[in-house]
Amino acid sequence: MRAPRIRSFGTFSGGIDLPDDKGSTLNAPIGAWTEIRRLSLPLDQNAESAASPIVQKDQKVTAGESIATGHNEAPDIFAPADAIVTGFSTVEIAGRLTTQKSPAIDLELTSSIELPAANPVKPHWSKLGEAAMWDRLTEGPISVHRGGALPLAAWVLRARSKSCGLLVANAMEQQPLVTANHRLMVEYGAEVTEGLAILARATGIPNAALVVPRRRTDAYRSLAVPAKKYNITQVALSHKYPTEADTILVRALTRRQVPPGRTPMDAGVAVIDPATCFAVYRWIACDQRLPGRIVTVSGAAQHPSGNYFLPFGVHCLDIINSDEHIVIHGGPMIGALCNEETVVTPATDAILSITPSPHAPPSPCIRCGWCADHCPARLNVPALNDDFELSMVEDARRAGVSACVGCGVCSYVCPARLPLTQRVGELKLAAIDAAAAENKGEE
Amino acid sequence: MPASEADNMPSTSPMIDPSAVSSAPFYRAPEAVRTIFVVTFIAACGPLFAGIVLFGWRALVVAVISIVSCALIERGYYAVTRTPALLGRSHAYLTGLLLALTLPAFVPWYVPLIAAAFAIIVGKVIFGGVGHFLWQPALVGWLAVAVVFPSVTNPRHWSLLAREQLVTGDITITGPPGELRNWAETPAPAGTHAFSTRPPKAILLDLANSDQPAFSALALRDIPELDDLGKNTKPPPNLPDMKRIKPSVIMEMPRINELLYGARAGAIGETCIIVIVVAGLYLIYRHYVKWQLPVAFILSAAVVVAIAPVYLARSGGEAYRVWLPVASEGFDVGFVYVCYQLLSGELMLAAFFLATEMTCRPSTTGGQILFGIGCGIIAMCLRMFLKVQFSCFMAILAMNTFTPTIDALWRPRAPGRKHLLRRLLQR
Ligand code: SF4
Ligand code: SF4
Repeated sequence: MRAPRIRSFGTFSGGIDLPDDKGSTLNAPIGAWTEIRRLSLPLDQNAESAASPIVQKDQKVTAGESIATGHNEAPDIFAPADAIVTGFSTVEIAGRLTTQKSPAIDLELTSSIELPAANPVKPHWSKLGEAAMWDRLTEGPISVHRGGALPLAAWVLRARSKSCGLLVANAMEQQPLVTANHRLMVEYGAEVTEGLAILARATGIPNAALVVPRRRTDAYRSLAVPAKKYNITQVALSHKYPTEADTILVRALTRRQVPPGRTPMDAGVAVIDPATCFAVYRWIACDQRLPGRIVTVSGAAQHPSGNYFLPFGVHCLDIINSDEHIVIHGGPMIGALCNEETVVTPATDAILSITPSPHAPPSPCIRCGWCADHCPARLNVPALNDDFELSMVEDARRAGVSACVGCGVCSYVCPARLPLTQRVGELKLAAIDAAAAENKGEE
Repeated sequence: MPASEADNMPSTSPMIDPSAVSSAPFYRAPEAVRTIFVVTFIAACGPLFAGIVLFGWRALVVAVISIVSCALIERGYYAVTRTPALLGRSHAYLTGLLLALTLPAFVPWYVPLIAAAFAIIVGKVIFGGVGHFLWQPALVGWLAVAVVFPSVTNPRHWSLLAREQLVTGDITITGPPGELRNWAETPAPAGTHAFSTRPPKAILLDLANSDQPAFSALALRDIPELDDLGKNTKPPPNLPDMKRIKPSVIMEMPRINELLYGARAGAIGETCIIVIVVAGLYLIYRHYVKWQLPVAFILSAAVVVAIAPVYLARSGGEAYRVWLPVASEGFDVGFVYVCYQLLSGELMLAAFFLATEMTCRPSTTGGQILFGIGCGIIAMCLRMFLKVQFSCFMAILAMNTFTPTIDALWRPRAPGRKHLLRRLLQR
């Protein structure tokens, strides 16, 4: 596909300016969280690619030992530290559109986990041949979380088969309180940029862009050097939420429209997050398996609010346990409530304890039209709300409900306090199911 | 919790309803439905205060009866049917206030009461309350009393307080009927508080009278007999052999500045244009009203009155039809004529406060423009062709009926969806 032209001042209709509210963690350096004693490593990232455990209960494992083998390109799962297997359980992880359940291996840690220092190996990754690079990618422990989870190798294959013309690292972090990507970019920005260059090479995409919010460009000045070295375009987009949603980002950046219910790759743009770029760099260039990611934590008892390196599989409620506030994972706009089973995955960028805005229970829609005005997907949300109340999935499907990006803007503005995002999301799921059933019928 | 976070959370109630916070987003904009109704209520108090000043304490009495009975009737209905009154009160107050704005100040006490009963029961609760009704409830109440009591809601002679009687005067103590051209300098007839006069829009309505035209021209300036200075001797373009036996429209109307601050006969809330526009701009600023709707309403009404024919008298008294009145006597006269048409009726109140009721307008910008254009065209066609006096209210009720249709046709275009035109062609 022809490479799209990048529009540095691109924008989109709809959207809203959110309060920034990042002050308390914006300048907090990435810290370590040493009190972690137990992990539950999820085995299924999605239905197609699961892993099966190869350890038994009470078995001792050492750091780096394989504890589950993957099927269908799924990466193997390795023990992040010395530990004892204490059993098998079910955990909840952020999945496509909603949260999903996954079986997991419970570990009792006997050593602590910290973010290792970068230690590039020889030869430099740019000297790796095509085949060697591909081997390393497929061996890698990385999965890409954009919507659903996908093993990195599968993601690269898909990007190649759609012959994308542009690779975008989406560092637009716009939700209030969340600063994980920002800190990652500030402290490890050069590695992220290099990870993006590695992915551009692996996918064979000639153009790569690093997209950051315009409010924070001052903090990223030092990235100009590595970006220039690998010929990466730096773009700063406006802070209008939700530019951070992939399909909206593609529209703002290239003016291409992602068809409803499809991924940005269908519009010829591959979108990746900085955390994955970072993990790719650490794996390909340093031969390190990153056992966790940077997460913004606010409101915990043991540590002050800040950004911490948390291992995958740690229970969110072990990090924050609060009786007065609610605990959510993901940002305040699109996140979900934590329960006993929720664990950190590559998709978790924040664990926050917040006081939700107290408000009256939902009242009937008064048709003010604000939700439709602000919806970045140009959906007629009050009509979809009617469709939801009357269970008219077909009608919603014709109205293009699958274009919804789940950004939460409609619920945010609704003066009637209707849970619109949830309702539209449910309609979208139902519409996707209906479309799948129809396709089956035709075959 | 960081301080910046605490600042952002409006704390209206200490209770957290778990069902209301179970899903994202956990941030909510502070605007709530009650706020909308309360702020609109406060904005609508502007025209009410102007009405109290211009029409005396009886305007306040009408408003209080209307608001209180709307609230009581709604509460009574929910008590009898045992349904919960979601948001009932704030919207009932607003409905009562808007209803009072559409009534004259001199109606007897039972008129606002009956109107309120119709507004709440027929206009609102039988549809299921807030968010579900089809017609603007205040206008439903107005329509009911306009049909049942035409002689009190729309009499031939209205009254208007004299200047020295503002606020404290009793508008029902009126003097003999007469023509009122210069309100500010005319004292009230002896022993009375108010003049009895014809509302200016009734005067304009005479232009649509094809049997007995009341006027011979829009403006007087090219009538040689009356032109004292004798400068303007150019023969009028469209009226070749006219013998001016009748006055011109503009000479009969009140002064335009009196129209702007509202010293003219009319319903409580409709006369003071300045206050209506300021309050309306505030609603636009708060995003409760999109500017496109009132602008489309007013512009389309202006276009219709600029084109629609008026009937003028020729010598011998037979009617003479003039299309395109805006151009017939020069555009300066035409412009003044169009302004009189727009400012002398209920159009401004209708465009800023009644057509913009959230529930009965279309929800998208395009739909609202369509709605506003429809309202303007219907309103002025009713007035110019059918001589309906409160035509803007009728037009809003008529367009409210089509709101669901407009909403179904005019949706924002989600990515990948076809344009409206292409969809219609494919059907
Ligand atoms: S309908 Fe979907 S895309 Fe539109 S505002 Fe709501 S959540 Fe966002
Ligand atoms: S924002 Fe809420 S009340 Fe307003 S139209 Fe949308 S659903 Fe209805």
